[in-house]
Amino acid sequence: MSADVLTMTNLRTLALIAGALAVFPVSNAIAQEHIQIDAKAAAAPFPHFWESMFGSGRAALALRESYREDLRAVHAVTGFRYVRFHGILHDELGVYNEDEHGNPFYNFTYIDQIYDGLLKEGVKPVVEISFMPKKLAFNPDALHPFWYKPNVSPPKSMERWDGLMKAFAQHLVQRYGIDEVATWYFEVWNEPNIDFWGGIPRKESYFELYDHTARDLKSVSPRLRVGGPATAAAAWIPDFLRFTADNHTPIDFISSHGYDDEPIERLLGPDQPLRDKDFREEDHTCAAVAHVRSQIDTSTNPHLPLLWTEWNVPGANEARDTAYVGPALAEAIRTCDGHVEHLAFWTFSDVFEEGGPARKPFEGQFGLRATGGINKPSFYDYALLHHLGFERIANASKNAIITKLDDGTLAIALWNLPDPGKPARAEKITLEFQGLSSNAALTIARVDDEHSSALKAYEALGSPAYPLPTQVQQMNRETALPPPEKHILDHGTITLDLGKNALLLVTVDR
Amino acid sequence: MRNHTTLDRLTLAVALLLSPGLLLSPSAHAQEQITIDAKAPTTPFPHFWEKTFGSGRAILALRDSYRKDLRTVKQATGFQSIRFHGIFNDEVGLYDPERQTKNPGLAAEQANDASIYNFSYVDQIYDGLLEDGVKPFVEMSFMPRKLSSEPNAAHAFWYHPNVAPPQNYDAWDKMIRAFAEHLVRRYGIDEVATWQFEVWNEPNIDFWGGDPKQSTYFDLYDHTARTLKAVSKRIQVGGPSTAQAAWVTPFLAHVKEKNVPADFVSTHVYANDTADNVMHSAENIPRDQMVYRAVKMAHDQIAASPFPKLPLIFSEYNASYANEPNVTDSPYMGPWLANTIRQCDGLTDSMDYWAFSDVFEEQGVVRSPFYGGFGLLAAGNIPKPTFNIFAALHKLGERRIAAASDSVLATTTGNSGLALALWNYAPPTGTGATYIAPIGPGTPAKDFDLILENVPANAAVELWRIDNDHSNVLKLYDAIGRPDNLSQQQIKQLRAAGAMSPAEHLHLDKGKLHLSIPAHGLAVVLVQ
Repeated sequence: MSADVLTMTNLRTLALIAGALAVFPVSNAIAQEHIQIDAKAAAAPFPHFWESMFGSGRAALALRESYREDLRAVHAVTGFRYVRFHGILHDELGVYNEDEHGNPFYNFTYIDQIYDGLLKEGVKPVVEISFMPKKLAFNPDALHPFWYKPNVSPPKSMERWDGLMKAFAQHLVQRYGIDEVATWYFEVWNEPNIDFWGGIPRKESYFELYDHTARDLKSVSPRLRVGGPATAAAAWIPDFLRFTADNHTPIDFISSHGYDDEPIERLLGPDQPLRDKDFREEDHTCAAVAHVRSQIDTSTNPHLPLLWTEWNVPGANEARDTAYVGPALAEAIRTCDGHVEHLAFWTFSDVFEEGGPARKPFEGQFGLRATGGINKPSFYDYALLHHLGFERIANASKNAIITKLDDGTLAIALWNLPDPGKPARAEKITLEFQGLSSNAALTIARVDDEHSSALKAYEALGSPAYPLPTQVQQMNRETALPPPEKHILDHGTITLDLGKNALLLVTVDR
Repeated sequence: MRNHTTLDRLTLAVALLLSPGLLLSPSAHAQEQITIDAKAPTTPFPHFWEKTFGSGRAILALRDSYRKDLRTVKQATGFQSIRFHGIFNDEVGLYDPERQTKNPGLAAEQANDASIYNFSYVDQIYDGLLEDGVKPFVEMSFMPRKLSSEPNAAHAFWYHPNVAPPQNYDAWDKMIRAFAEHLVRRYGIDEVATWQFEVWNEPNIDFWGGDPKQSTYFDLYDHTARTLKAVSKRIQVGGPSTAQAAWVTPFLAHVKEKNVPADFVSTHVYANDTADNVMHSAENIPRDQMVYRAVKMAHDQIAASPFPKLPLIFSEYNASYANEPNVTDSPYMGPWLANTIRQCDGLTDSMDYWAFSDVFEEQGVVRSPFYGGFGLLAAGNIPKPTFNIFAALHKLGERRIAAASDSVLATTTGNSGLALALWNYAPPTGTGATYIAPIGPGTPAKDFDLILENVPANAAVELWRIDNDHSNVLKLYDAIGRPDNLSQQQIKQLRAAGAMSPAEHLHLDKGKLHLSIPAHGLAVVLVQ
């Protein structure tokens, strides 16, 4: 990283973060927030970048009925367009084989079943090209500790890797047509900067893999969209951009990862002044997103889209099973807006085996649906936020996103994010409107510790480790979002109670 | 009842085998006249061939494709239970005493969970079956690696199950007990008492690493059977689940001598097993006789044992244990299956066809839809002729009328009608892994003259056919060049082409019906 790029990056990151810092003293001090909203104010485009792409358990799991049921359920409430998962080349799918003479041959049966299954549900793949088939591995014993033990070795022969990549892409184009496949994303590998890649040295050997793969895909069709480096913790971006520019390597997007519960120093790099104390944890991912966006902006390829192909809210104390996801997610949407093309929540479902099969429904896993198809609060949080409009009205509040629907209806997200280190508590927010009828009709829908809480329903059943299908149905019935409450504004205002970890979706008629 | 054959069937079979080209002339037609009296005495004819099916291993039961295929076959046959390997395989996650959790960016840590058993996937698998109205036939296999006396004792199957005995029987017994207690708690003893629990799979061959095989298997059996019965006496347990119909007599002598519970005897046979392996004789037993001979042998061994009334379950059988596309993918299976049913009726409680679906990975991921897989449905939910064969034979009644012919099964249906199966058996067009396209018109047909007594002389007749030209997906698949990889469009076309051909609606002519059935053809005739 050169000195001037670093300076530029830090300035932009600092500018972004300044707003987030200001929230602490204010929200600690007040029990009530007053938000003024001008319905006629100028609005900026607000694409739903947080619900357009999700991660999931590895490729083979996409053949499961439970995976497909969860996919349909989450697709129904979010309309997501892309799903990304590891392991399309993992040996359990039988893609790469060698015959008795050592000549490669390919088997696309399960790849077809997997992608056919997604497309049938209206979801396209983000083709994460990983991991290494054992017979193609330089080191057949280079196994990652995940329960399913992917091989993370570089290929034993780049020529054979090229052959596999071209055959794979040709097969997809032949089966689905180039017009379809050109709308997918091809991402080279997963987190090559950590233990998912065994090349030495990591960076240079990954760049070689990327270079080969990108050229292979483009040789099949220049319309295939390829990107990387799919790094953990926002790593390698400037070097990767410089490598691809210097070598004229094809690149259509930048992808990277970062989680809210990763230390800020890891996400932004050690050579800048910001530390964990400068952020609330829920802002870590978007600080990294903004950081990477600025790295792209200042590169020789500033128009490249950024795909954040993995993130999640802080996960301590199994928080991902609770209503806390709602306000943490809303905070991420508020702060990432404008910086990223897709922010892919890892994952849409707990059909997931990285640590082995789940032992009980609520283990703090990533997904929106717990084992057995139980809707977590996060499922309902996503369902509420889906109702936001595609235009956003700027607002100074740190606890609100104001949007406008095509017909002029306002759709507003409000949330109650506990202060760092403090227990959750109830809050009040007063909305004061201008530019619409002073007694306009409004609706309110909410998810919080008491509303649509799967954990509460689960505990009422005695917290069974292995709920019966009928118990799962019962829980989902009990947590289903009721019809929104209906109110009218009183002289253009309304005061709303926000319970612990509340996320509210408020619509106001024009 | 009379029965007249102009050409001896065995002679025909041998001649076909030697020189199929010689028999292309229509003059070689066989002809048979059969008289059936709808009021003749009947014997019970339980549908023992469609009670239970085998399938790919346990973890595959979580697949969407498996469940779609299961519903399809259930719809056609009404089968009651399903058997598969590997409920104890590590991929199902049941036994994991040192489980760790790992989150992104964090070190793996010991899971703080008291139980060393995880029933999540066991439940998902059995819940899924029961939801579709199918019970598990619980084959208890294979060995969790962490319980194995030899963690590297991997079977050659693609998914490499561990086949070693447990490292200690205390841990094995505890796992079996926890497993059974969990099932009884979740599903209730009234439900679980209707299942069968079978100890291991084919311990007489390479699925069991104990040495010597037989006595070490008996140790496993004793521990497992006693542990299950300690949970509930109502749990039904059996074995020895052997390949090639082996060990029935020594198994029964053993359980008698040691006073070990056994509620049924289970064993396997495939029609291409050799007489040397099954009967220890030098006979040459053809494919259409082998299953019957093994069933008869096991039946007679039980009859001569201290437990002559013990139920006999053939928990695996098929016309081949190998992948032979001219056998299991072909209409050949119609006559083979019907004739096997005809012969085995009354000798066995259940014959469990291996397997209901080609969602199956023993030799790896399927590379071509018609490779001679065992299933009734090829990959992509495409019906094979066997699917239609089972669906047609499902129409048979549950009372049988004796018939001297070896090419007919005659049954009565509930509403005083007749349901008949008629077939023209001929050896498969080819054997082995390479497919040989059928020879075409001229392959000798067989003419049946049916004389039906005690039914209306002009009774309505519904005729279902499975042969090279009916209910046969291979006709289209061959025509499009047998592609390994099917487009979505081709899958749809093949599904339609593989469906049962519509019934022909006929009437008896003065109580008579003439039927011509081509070689490898099966017809099911329903008479009102």
